Formats: sequence, C-alpha cells, structure tokens
Amino acid sequence: MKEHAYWDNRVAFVLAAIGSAIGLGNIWRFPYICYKFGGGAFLFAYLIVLIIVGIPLLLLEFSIGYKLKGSAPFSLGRIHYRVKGFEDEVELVERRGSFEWVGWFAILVGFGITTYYSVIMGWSADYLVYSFNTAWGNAPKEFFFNRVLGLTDSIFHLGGIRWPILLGLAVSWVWIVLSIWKGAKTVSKVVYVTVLLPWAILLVFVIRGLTLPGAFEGIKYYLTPDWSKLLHAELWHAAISQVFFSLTVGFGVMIAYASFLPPKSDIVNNAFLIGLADAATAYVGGFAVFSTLGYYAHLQGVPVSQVMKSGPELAFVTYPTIINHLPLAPLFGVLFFLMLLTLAIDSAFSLVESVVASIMDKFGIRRWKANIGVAVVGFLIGILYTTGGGLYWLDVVDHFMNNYGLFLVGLLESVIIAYFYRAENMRSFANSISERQIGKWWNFSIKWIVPLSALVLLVFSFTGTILSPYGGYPRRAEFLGGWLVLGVFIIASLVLSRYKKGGEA
Amino acid sequence: MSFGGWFTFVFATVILFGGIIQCIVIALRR
Repeated sequence: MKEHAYWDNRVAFVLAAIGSAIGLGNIWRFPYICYKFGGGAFLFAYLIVLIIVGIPLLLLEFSIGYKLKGSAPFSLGRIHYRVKGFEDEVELVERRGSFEWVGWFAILVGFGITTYYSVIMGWSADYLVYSFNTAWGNAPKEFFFNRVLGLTDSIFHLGGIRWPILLGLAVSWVWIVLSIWKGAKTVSKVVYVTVLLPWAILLVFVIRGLTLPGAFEGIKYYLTPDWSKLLHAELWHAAISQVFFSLTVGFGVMIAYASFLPPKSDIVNNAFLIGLADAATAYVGGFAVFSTLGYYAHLQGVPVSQVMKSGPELAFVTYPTIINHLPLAPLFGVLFFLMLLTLAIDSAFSLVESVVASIMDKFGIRRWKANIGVAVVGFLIGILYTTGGGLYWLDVVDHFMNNYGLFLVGLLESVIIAYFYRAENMRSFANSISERQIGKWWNFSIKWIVPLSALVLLVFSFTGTILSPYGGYPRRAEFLGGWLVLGVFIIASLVLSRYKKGGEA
Repeated sequence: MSFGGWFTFVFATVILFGGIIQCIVIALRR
C-alpha cells in the first residue's frame, strides 16, 4: 500500500531541495575549483552553465516527478518507447519498452554515494566530539591520517575497522533514518534546522574570517579573474562538472521530492530559486574558506596558494590547524564540524529518501521496513570505508559514481524527455502550473546543451581513465571499485525494471 | 583588490542574490 505524503508547505519543499543540493562540495570543492580555474573567470563561466544547463536539468527533474507523480523508476517507467522486431523470425511485431531501468540506475548511483557520504558524516561526528578539547593537538595531519583513519600503505591493505568511525557511521545512519521516518512529513520539519543552521554557522565563519588579518589577501585569490582561462576547455569542463555535482540532479532525488508536491504547485520559479540558492551558498562559502586561508597564509608568511587544499584535507587537516590559532578554538571547532554535519545530512537523507520512495512504489512495502532495510544495507556496505584502506576505496568509488554514473543519468534523462516524451510537452506542462514561464530556450537546452554536455564529460572521463588509472591506483582496484560496481548497478537496474509484483517477469 | 576582483564580486552578488530576491518576489505576488 503506497503511503503518499505531501510537503507541509512550499517553504518546506524549497528548503528540502536546497538542503539536498547544498552539501560538503559547496564548501570544500567549489572554492578550490574556482581558485584553480581562474577565480572570477570561473565564477562567470559557472553562472552561465548554471543558467543554461543546471537549472534546466533541475526543472526537468521537477517536471518528471510532479507530472508523473512518483519516484524516478516509477515516473520514468511511465514513458514508453516502441521498437519493431521479428518474433520467432517470422512476424514483424511492435514491442513496448519503458525507461524504468534508467530510474533504478539513478537511484543505485545515489545509494552508492550515500554509502560513503555517511562515512564522511561519521568522520565529522567524531571530529565534533574531538573539537571539545581540540584532540588533534599540534599535528592535525598526523592525527587525521594516522590516528583517525589509520590509513594503510595501499588500497588492498584494509588494516581493520576503525571503531570510532564505525560508531560515527552508525550515528549518521540513525540520524538519516529518523529524518525521513515518515517521508516528506518528517523532512518538512527537519529541514528548518538542517538547512538554516549551517547557513547561520557559515555566516559566522564569513564574519570571523573577514575580520582576521590577511583575510583580503585570501579573497583576492578567490575573486581576481584570469580572463584568459575562459578560452581553456578545462575551465568549461570544470564548470559543467561542478554544476552537475552540486545540484544533486541525476540521482532521482529531485524527481522524488517533486512528486511530494501538492496539486497546483509551482515548479519553474522554484527551480530557479533552488539553483541560485545552491550557487549562492557555494559563493558565500568561498568567502569563509578563502578569508580563513588568507589568515593562515599570513601567519605562515607564505602565499595563499601554498596553503590551498580541497576535499577532506581542507576540512579535517587545514581547518583544525587554523582553528588552533583562533581564540575560543573549541567553540569554532564544534561550530565548524556541526556545519559540515548539517550540510551533509540533508543531502544524505534526500538520497536515501529517493531509494525508499522507489522501493515503496515498486514493491508496495511499508515505509518503516524500507527505511530500516535501506539503512542496514547502507551501513553494512559502509563498513568497507571505515577500514584503514577505506579512504582509497572511497576515492575510487566516488570518482566512478560521479564521473560516470551521474553524467550517464543526466544524458539519458534529457534524451528521454527531449525525444521520447517531447521537450515541448513538458515545457507546456511546467508553464501551465508555474508562476514564472520558461521560454523555448529550455527545449533547446534539454535537446542539445544538456545531453551534449553530459556526453562530452563522459568522453573526457573515459579517455582519462583509459590513458592512466584514476589516482594512480592499480587497475585491479579501479575495476573492482569502479567498472564492476557500475556494471552491477546496470544489471540490477535491468532486473528490477523487469520484475513485476507477484513474481512474474 | 584589482578592478577585475571587484567586478566579479559585484557581478556574482547581483546575479545570485538579485536572482533569489526576484524569485521570492514573484512567489509572494502570486
């Protein structure tokens, strides 16, 4: 029996979608990429790509979920194609197929990401506790890699489970499950804390950062444009990838979230609002990060470029180092890791919610069973990443999920809607219910710009992987953590889409 | 900060926050 819940109100939906889009990447990836690809020039390219690729794709997912009223597999399963073929090599017959498998593939990629995202949340939860006495002391790097992660010397040397991380992982999954316990009903309430709190803390860090000596030197690195980079393909590649990564499109989340919208809801204006709010958070995050890095560079007497880091090293090594130099260090430590946790939690539970909604749509099972089932499987898979070699596996799986899974779904979704459902049909529908109208340029974007962007990114990723193994890992590790996982996801998607309730295929 | 840096700051701030405010105004007018 399907238990269909709606959002409490429009604000709840907007906050939930913003919370899903905003994640760790807004803080630890965007500012670094911006600096690396020409500062202001990248920002300029990013905004263009956001408008012509990101927001159209977001609107596409909202339209699918709202119009077809279900999770990604359920909604895409309602779009059919026809093929002609010979049956028994004699008679020409027309067969109908659906795109349900694309929805399942999107869901599985999102779930794959949640299995390690929850581990990063586990690190953050542990660091929240460590902050009370700044347990990292004067050697945050050694503390993170050796004492916390227990990082081994190679990817195939797992080195045993790190129990504090496992505990953090368990706490993360409990929090995720509680946040989506009754679906949209619970999420509607949770997001007021998990979206507004990290924003508030981010503002504290911006103000604190900008009032530190050397802050403006850091901001200079962030914003000063190198316009010549606009002519470099790498900049546009980075801008398109960042837009894809940042908006949480391609995992079925926005499809599921839009399906919880009550009748007569706007989707066009909401898509613009959510896309812009996500970008604005990353932009403001850049001020918090660069002002603090400027301060650190000032203390060390080195250029900002020498202290610039991204990803986990920025959050778990550079930031604790800087926090050591601030008055009230434990307070800023707690605030920083609380911000990371709350930034991550709504992305994580949105990914899990889209899995749960899909399972409920398909198998008609009760929500609590789906919640617990997904959490247990996610937790068990996550144990791999809590080992001493976990960071290596996390890195490989993350690369393949984002650089193949995500772009492939983006490509397929846009092609399905543009050429099988018809872009104009979807545009007319979106305009008929929305307070802001989207022009015919959206059709062009969905027919050409989005699929071509995704295709180019896929080709780039594939060529890169073929030329040299990702991150210098052995090909065997790349196969196990990348190609095999993607292959299993594709086969599982096809099997799930063939399965019908009652057992017949 | 250079002219380019200030230009980027004003441009990005206006596009992002101006855009957000415009969306909110449209929603409130409904």
